[in-house]
Amino acid sequence: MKRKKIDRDLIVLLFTTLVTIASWIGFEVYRTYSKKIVNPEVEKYLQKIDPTLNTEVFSKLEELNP
Amino acid sequence: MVQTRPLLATSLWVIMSLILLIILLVLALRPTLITIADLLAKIREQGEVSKQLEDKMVSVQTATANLKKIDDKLYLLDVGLPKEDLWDQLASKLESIATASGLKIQNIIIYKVPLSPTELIGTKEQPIIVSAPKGIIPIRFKIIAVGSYDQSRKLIEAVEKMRRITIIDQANIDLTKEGDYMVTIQAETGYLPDKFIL
Repeated sequence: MKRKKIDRDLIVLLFTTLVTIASWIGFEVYRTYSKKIVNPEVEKYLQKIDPTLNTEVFSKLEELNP
Repeated sequence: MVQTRPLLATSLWVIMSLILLIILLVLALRPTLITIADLLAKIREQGEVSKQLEDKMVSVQTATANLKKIDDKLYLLDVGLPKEDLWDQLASKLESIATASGLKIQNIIIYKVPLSPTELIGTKEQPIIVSAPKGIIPIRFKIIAVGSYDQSRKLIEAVEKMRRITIIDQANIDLTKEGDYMVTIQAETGYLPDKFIL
């Protein structure tokens, strides 16, 4: 009877360990998938630029005395 | 022994299976899944980078097209804010506008031209606060001329409307003993060498 209880406890312990390890692996996989891995060297080339030019400045400069 | 105790045999198989499963999870499945997740993340990131680069290329092409439209006017920027101090041209220009306004020039002073935007102007005890925007190397100058009131105003206006961008710090028109007007203009222009462009 005592042996049977030890077996059951061991199975519960192993099953709990299994669930814990499965969760750990799950979180680690999620963390790996969601982390940002863009190289900072590359990132500086990705900065957006504004292609509009303020052409009013040229009109104002043209109006001034050469 | 096992055959005589089937319950023990079953428990043993379950325990062994669970242990094997744990070992497999830790040693085999975990590295594989992490490698897959890492590769998927890299593919996703590369896709985003590729899209951002495409957007940037479109922006650069638009900017190039816009720049081409005003290509013939770009020299105005170099006139407005030259890359070199060109103080000799500044002196000639000031002299010509003062003469054109009909005033008699008494003095044109161009103060020491700094070599970098961070160079201290004035003394350590009394630094001069300049009006030029940050990053631009200021060139301070002063004109003193004598003539009529209208001529004095005309000179101030001409200095203000110089194509080389100029900020007037101070303009005084004083009446002299002879009945003429003496105009004193203290102003700043500037230059911006390529190495200081941010």
